[in-house]
Formats: sequence, structure tokens, C-alpha cells
Amino acid sequence: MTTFLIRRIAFMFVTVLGAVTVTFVLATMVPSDPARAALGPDATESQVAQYRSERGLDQPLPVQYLRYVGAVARGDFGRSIVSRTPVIDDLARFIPATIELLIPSLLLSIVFGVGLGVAAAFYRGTWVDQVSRFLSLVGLSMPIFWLGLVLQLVFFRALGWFPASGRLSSALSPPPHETGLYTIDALLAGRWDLFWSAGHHLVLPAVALSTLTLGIVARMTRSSLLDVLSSNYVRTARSKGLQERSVLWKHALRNALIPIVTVIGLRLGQMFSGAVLTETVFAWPGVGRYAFTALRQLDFPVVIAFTVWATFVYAFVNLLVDLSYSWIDPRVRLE
Amino acid sequence: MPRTMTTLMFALVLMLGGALAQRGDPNTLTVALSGNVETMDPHSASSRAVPFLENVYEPLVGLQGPTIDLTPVLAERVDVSDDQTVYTFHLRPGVQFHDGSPLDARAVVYSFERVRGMNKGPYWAIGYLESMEAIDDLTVRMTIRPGGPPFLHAVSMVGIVSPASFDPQKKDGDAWAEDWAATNTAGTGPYVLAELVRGDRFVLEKFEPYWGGWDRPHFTRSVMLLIPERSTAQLMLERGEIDIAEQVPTEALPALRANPAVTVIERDSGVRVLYLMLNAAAGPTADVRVRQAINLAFDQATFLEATGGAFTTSNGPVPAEFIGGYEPEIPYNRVDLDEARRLLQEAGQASMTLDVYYTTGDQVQELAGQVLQAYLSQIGVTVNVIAQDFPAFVRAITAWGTSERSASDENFRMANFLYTPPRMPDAYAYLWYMYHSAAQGGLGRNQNFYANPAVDALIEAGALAIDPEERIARYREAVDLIVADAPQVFVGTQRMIYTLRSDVGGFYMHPTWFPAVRVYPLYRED
Repeated sequence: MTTFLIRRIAFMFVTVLGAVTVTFVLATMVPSDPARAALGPDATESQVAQYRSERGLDQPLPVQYLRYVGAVARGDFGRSIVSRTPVIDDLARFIPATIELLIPSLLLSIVFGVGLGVAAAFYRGTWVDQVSRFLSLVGLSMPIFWLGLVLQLVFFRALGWFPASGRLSSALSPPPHETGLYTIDALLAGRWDLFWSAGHHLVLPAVALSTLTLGIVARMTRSSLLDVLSSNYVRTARSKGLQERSVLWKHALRNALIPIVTVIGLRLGQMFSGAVLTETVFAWPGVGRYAFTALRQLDFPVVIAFTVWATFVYAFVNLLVDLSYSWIDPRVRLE
Repeated sequence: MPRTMTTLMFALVLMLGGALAQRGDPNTLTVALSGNVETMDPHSASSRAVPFLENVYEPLVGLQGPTIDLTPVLAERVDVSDDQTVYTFHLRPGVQFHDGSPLDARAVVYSFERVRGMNKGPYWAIGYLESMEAIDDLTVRMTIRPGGPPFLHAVSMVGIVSPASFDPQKKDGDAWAEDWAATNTAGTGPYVLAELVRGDRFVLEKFEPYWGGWDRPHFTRSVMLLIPERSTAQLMLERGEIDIAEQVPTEALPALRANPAVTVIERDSGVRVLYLMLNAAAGPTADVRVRQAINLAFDQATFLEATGGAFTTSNGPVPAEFIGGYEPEIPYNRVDLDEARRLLQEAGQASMTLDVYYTTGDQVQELAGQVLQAYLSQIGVTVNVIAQDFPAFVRAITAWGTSERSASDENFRMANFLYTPPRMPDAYAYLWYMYHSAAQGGLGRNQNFYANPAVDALIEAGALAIDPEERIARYREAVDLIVADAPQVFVGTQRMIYTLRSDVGGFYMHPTWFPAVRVYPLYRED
């Protein structure tokens, strides 16, 4: 187990280094000029030249590369070319925003996705199955952008139940930065009004973001569970007189979990690295929109930092998924 | 599992309970910004950040209300020498910076030196400044070389900053405290930057000792929210959660006009003129007849209609309401396909291909490209409308003039769409930057190699003229020559549209501030 962990963590660092290298190479191959992109078409040549020398953009590429890797290894991602703020400060603000959105959204998709999938498999071929399959198909195929706008139209514009944008009411100031998650920071500061407002602002974006994962999880649960339900040991369990509930939740579902967990892990990685569309519709200042803007402006330090983050998250979530296999299925040994 | 679900439902119901949205404080103005303000530094800010920062930083002289006339701001009075090369600014006494230090001549000199030292933002406008000196605590004398943009207009683009706050923040490799100034402010304006949540919001709060005073009704606080999606801003405006939306979807305008709680303010003009720049030096468009033919085939009216009222006509290089602007006779500003075909025949380009570049994601440019494609196909011209990412686009248009002018060059292009920026309400900015031959190759926006020595001479003569009427006369002659050469297609002018709650009073639109909101003149009507 320990060797497994050490090996996997070492491998994770190699993956991150590879991603940094690939990003750097790709970024330098793009036919555009970050200095120009930052200064705009009105800057004079001398302004552009000065900018390049200030940021080391006029150094030879290998030098630039080594400087980047060295700095990244020290956890120093530099300052954003566009805003001049330290990238690490930005990440400390934008990543928690995404995580705060992700957790409720993931809970929603797991609870309702697994629920729908189990119901569909258990009542296979009945109307329950049809409805569940229809719902998961809707979740899968509905564009998040459109869904977001519809949710805003109904629950904000018409009913006025939930706010349409941002993380907090415009009348309130964010709580002191502890974790960066407004709900938790509000509780730590003992500010119920902030907690309330932050939670309230989470509802619509979390629902919008959950639908795709919900659809995937529901379909995966159904098919995986159907496989298991037709297996011999389930027949044995039933024939020895176990209650149907126990057969379903204890024996069948646990054995059907591995593909479901794998799929959730994949989606988690994607969502962690940002949900650009949801973040745009709901004006949610998360890491996805931050990285998207940076990419458009060729803000190299931000792009590199984001790549490191995204790679790390994927590698880390994969590690968790692998670890969870041995917990779900004791026959799996980690070596 | 069922228990989890019950808990979750319970939580949802609880949240619904809290849904009774708190009505905002009537003294707070809430604004939806459509794009980010990337820096708080008035001396590196480019287009959209500049007018926003005028809530915090003030120039010596500024534009008066909705007009393009200059008015004293931090300078009480300006003496100008007869030859217009020496400007003496008498500062308003008793003005305080947000950090408590007094406004004095030292701060003015520091601010202009900072702009020169940083070589960013408004630097282009004060490049003709030769020397300056503090005569006494409240007097600054500046000497310029003649031949540049109108100097007082240039001065109006430089916000005065507090050296008491800025200077201690300088570091090795950052002589002008740029890192600090990107997120911190110290100006003299009516509002202080009280809170900055990157990517989310800015909060401005009233500066009590502001020299302009707080006798009339004003907002004491303003929250600027970054709302990238226009439909979201529209819904929030309709619900009254925001007071002003910088941008709403064009198709929402009819409903908003009919809504008594919302006022739509529109102005049938604007500083953002969309051009299709045609390569005047190489390729088939080097022939003036081809350029005229393209103009004769493009129907501006079709394009304007297709934008649903977001754009209005463009009839010349300089918007008519600006100093020296006017609408010249444009012989080819009509649709005449027969004449266009004849001109192409004459030029030996009866069937040609035109590559037109636009910025990815710019729907207006894309639309203009499609209109162009449809009309030009009728005169035998195949138009390829090509999308290009903004960074690559900027590099290409700025590198356009710096390399070999051959069709095989990667930077060679026949045509691309281009906006003029809201720089300065004076013909100089438009004419020099778009049409002077020295403005090629990244020095200006003459990216299509347009070069006419007579035009250059007229632009220079206009800039040197001391008599304003003579200046304007030279500029008009230049415009007439440019129009005859047809180096571009006038595609349209973006109309200025603001949508605000009807109880916001004091709002006016300014030709060079779009899109931005000045909070100080505004108040909540009872």
C-alpha cells in the first residue's frame, strides 16, 4: 500500500512536469504575441519591446522554459501579465469558488443520479424505468448554457426565489478569507447572514452544473446494476431468502459501484478544472472562467498555473478512485 | 440514501425561505459591468478601464458633462502661450488625495513623469511634452513640441496620483509601483476604491472631503458587478437588482423600452466605428478601382438592419460630432452593382478572391462579413470570411506593415475588420492613427499601408495650425482625399445604448466614455 502510494505520487509529479512542458511548447508555437495581446493594438513598438524585456519574454526559449519550471517548482507562478496580481493569490480565490460550487453540485448528481439509476434497474421495463431513462437523457443532452438561462428566467425573474448571479448579495462583503469557501468562512466568522446569502446564491448554478453528471451517473448505475442483478450470486442471495432491499443496496449496488465511481472520478476532474459555461451564465468567479479569459489573452503565467492545477487534480482524483476500488471491493489489492 | 435526500430537500426548502431578497440600500448604485476592468492603474489602463477609473482619479482638465468641451478639474485655470507651446496650470487649492496628502505641483509632475516612465496607456497622447517644472506649490508649467494631438485633450487623459502613496511602493524593477497600483488606488476623485474582489466586483465609497462637495443628491456607494452574460444582466435589471446594465442583448431592447421601470437611453452615434480595412499596397486591392468596387457592392443598410439597431450609419473617417469631424460626400457610398462590375473589369479583376479576417467571437464583424460575402458574390468576388483569435489577430494587424509586402507573406492579408477606439474627441486621433503613412507597422492603426503624401502633409499642417478653424479646414481637406482613395469600407458605427432603472437620475451619456458609468452626477429619484 505504501509503495503503491509513493509510486503513484512520484508518477503524479512526472505527469505535472510533462503537462507544464507541453503547455509551454504549445504556447510558444501559437502564432501570436503575448506582449501585443496584453497591450492591445494601440501600443507602440517601443512599448511592446519594453514590455517584453520587463517580463523576460525576449529571452531565448530554453531560458524562459527553465525559469518557468524552476519557479513553478518553488510554487511561484509569477504575476499575471494582464492584471499584475500574483497568480497564486488569484488561484487561492478562484479555486475555492469552483470547489464551493462543485461540492453541492456533485452531491446532487450522485444522490439523484444513483437514485434514478437504481430505480430504473430495479423496476426495469416499467414506467419508472422509462421516466428515469428519459430524465437522464434530458440531463445528458441539455446544454448547460440554455438550462442556466431557463433556471434564471423561472426561479429568478418570474418567481424571485433565488438570485441569478455571483456568490454573494451585492449588499454584503465577503467574509475574511480562511478557506475561500464563502459558506464555511461565513460560519467561521459567525456570520449567519453571509452564510445564508452564500448558500442561496449556490442553488441555481449547482443545479445547472449537476445535470450532466446526473445523467451520466444515472445511466451508468442502471446498466452496471442490471449486469449485477442478473448474476448468480444475486440469485443465490434471493433464493436464500434475503430481503429484496438488502439484496439491492448491500449486495448488488456495492458490486456495481466500480464503474460508477470511475465515471464520477472523471467528471470530478473535469468539474474541478472549471465549469466555464456555468461560471459565465451565473457570473460565478471560478477558476474555469479565470483560465478561459487568461487563455484568450495569452496570459502565460496564468495558463501554466492553471495547467499544473488541472493536471494535478486529474492525477489526484484518479489516485482517489484507485484507492476507493480496494475499499469497495476487498479483492482488489493495491501494489 | 432516503435520509440524505430528505436532508437535502430540507436544506432546499430552508433556502427558499431566505428568498425574500433584501431590497438594496437606496444610496447604493449597483452596476453590471460587461467586461473586466483589468487594472486600477490609471497610467497603464487601456480603453474600457480609463473612463471607469475617472470615478477615482481626476485629470487637470476634463470633458464637460455630455459635451466634448474641456473644463477645469484639478487645475483651476490654464494659461496658454500664443504659440500654444507653453501651458501653465494653476492648481485648485485645498484638494486632498484619498490618503490625506494635499494635491500640489509635485504630484502633477510625478504623475506625468510616471506616464512617461511607464510608457503605457496615455503615453501616446503626451509624447509631445518636452519639459515641465513646478513653479510653486500650486503652479506647473509644461512646454511641448508643436505638431501633436491637441495638448489639453492629451492632458485630460492623465489622472493625477498621490506620490505620498505611490512612491513608497516602488521596488527594484518596478520604479513606478505598478504592482501596487494594479489593485490599489490613491487619487482625488469623488469615490474611493473600498473593495476589490477580482473577477467579481469593485466597490466604490464616497470620499467625504471631496473638493466637489456633497451638497447635491449623490450615491454614497457603488457596487460594480462583473456580469459577463448579457441576458443575466437584463434579468437582474428587470428585477431591480441592478440599477444600470452596461450591455443587454439587442433583442431584449423592445421589451425593455416598454417596461416603465426601465429607461433605455440611446444615442444615434458613437465613437466605435467599424471599418473594413483594405490592403492599399499589395494584392488586387492595391488598385483604387477594386477598392471602390468593393465599396459600391457593400450595402451598409442591409448590415445595419441585420444588427437589429445596435449599429448606425458611418459616413466618413471621423465621427461628425467630434472636433474636425464631418460627413464628406462619398461618391461610392451607395449600392451600384453595374458600376462595381465595370470598375473590376477595368482593373482586370473580373473574378477575384478576397480574404476577410475578423476576431473570433465578434458576432457583429462576422455578420458584416456575411453581408459582404452575399453582395460581393454578385459582382464576381469570392469572399472568404476567416475567424482569428484576438491575440493572433492583434499580432497580425500590428505586424502587417513591418514585413515584406508580398502575397506569400504570412502577415499578408487583403482585408480585416477594425474598430477605432474611443481615444480623443478630435480628428487628429482618427486621421493620424488610421491614415498617416508614419502610422504603419505598429505605430498606429494604419495597418493597410495606406500612404498618400498629400494626406500626410495635410494632417501635419492641421496639427501645427494654431487657429482652430484652419486646423479643421486642413483636416477636412485630408478627409476628402482619403475618401477618394477608398482605403476602407465604412461598415457602421456602434450606437451607444445604456439601460437603467427609471429611478436613477442625473444620467447622461458621454461620447468618449462608452461603456462606463460615472457615479458622481447620479442620484436616486424619490
